[in-house]
Amino acid sequence: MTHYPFSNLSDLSFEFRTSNGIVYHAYFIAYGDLFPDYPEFAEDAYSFNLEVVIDDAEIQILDERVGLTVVAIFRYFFNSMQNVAIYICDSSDDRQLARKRKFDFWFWKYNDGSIVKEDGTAVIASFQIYNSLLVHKQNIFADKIITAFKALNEKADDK
Amino acid sequence: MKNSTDIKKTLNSKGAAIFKKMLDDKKAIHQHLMKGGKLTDLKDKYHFLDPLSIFKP
Repeated sequence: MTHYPFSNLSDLSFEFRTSNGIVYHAYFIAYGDLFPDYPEFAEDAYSFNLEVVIDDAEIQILDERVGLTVVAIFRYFFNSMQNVAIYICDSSDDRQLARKRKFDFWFWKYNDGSIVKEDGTAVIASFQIYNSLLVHKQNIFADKIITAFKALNEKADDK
Repeated sequence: MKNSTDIKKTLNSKGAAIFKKMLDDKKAIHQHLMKGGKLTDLKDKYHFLDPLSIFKP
């Protein structure tokens, strides 16, 4: 089994179409503000997003190639080993836990070990926001990045 | 006997502000794409990674 081919890379996203007629856009946005106290890697931090832009599927099927493709996109992203990605599970429709489980499963099944994934749960106004950090195993700042990521999920002092 | 009133406060995570911004940005971009827009339309507002910049044949 292989991943779906990416296309339209010049449109700032990794676009792929499944055999069932669903078109996804995967893209990364730089967030230098994530780690302001760590200039050594702050500019390498990105959020990862996956969007369904066309859904012509007549029947919804469990398509394992989607997960394989997402992990392949991350391997591509980590061609620049200093890159750091954060994935936040959208909670606007109360399906954040399902998204987390799917994302976790993809990495459990398809990660070849080159990507380190660290999970966190942030609290924002009583809501829990599931989030994950992905960093290349050979990133020289990996330990520092994980420590900084964990701090983002810690509760702030009530001052 | 002392009556105590616990005022329970939910403390936000240290990264709450940036996580909230990331979620808001994600929603705005989602709505833009659902209207048929392209990411390139938003390149002045967000700093998208250019996939071609990390391409290594």
